Amino acid sequence: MATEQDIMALETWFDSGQPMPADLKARVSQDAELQESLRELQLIRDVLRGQDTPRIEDAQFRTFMDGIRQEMVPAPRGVFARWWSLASLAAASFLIALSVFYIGWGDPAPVRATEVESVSTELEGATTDFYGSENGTATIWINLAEDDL
Amino acid sequence: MVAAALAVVMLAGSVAAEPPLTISFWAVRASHAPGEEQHFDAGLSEVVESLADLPFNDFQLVSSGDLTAEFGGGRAERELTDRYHFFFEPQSREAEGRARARLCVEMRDVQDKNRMVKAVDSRVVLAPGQPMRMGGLKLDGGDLILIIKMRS
Repeated sequence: MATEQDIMALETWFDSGQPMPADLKARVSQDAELQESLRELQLIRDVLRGQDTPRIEDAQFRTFMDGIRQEMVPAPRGVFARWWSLASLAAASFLIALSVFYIGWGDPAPVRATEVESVSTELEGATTDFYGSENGTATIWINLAEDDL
Repeated sequence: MVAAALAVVMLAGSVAAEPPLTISFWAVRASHAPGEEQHFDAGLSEVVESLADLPFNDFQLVSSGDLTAEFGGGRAERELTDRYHFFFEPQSREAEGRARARLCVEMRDVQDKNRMVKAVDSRVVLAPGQPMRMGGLKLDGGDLILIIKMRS
């Protein structure tokens, strides 16, 4: 019966590519389990050799890598797409600015007229008056005392 | 992006130093003349509407012109007649283009010719293009009417 060491020795020899040593050959010839292991190893090798594995030659390598890069790096966008993005951004900024102005300024206030806040005089006995006339003209009027006339 | 830049420029402009304030003035001698029809000097065409409702029928232009002064301490002044002196001091810019200012008419004292008395000392908020007027002071048998209009 084949031991684990025998199987390992067989696999080591199989991978070495050297002629089989005489002692190993003797054991294989006397052990059906080792013979079966050898057949399995040979079968695996044959299957692997028989596969049609694609191979990239040196001349094809640059083209192969270019293909990978094209998939990994997005292609630069066209001029139209860039301008479209800028236009969208500008329109959004304009709307935001318009909203801020509208909130900050509110509804347009009615036009306000000239207003008199205060009036005084140093003329003795005189009084002051101010009012808005019918034509919208703010008016300041001094009413003089008799002595000032 | 462009709109944001415009907003920044507008905000920067509002923070920048205020331009000086310019006003126009017309000093008018208003009096009663024979007849009913009102008469206005040719130089008063721009302010006829501000004079027409006053109880006079003769309006003579005494002096007129433009005065410009800076906000925050500036002053502009003019002799209206040999007796009256006018000055104004811009104080602040207000909303809707208006401006707060001090308007003052000084009068030479009858007894002490070197002494000026403030006949009218007023604080007003001027609106662009909208006139205001001062009246009641006496001038050569009539009334002195001062029309003031903010330019910018």
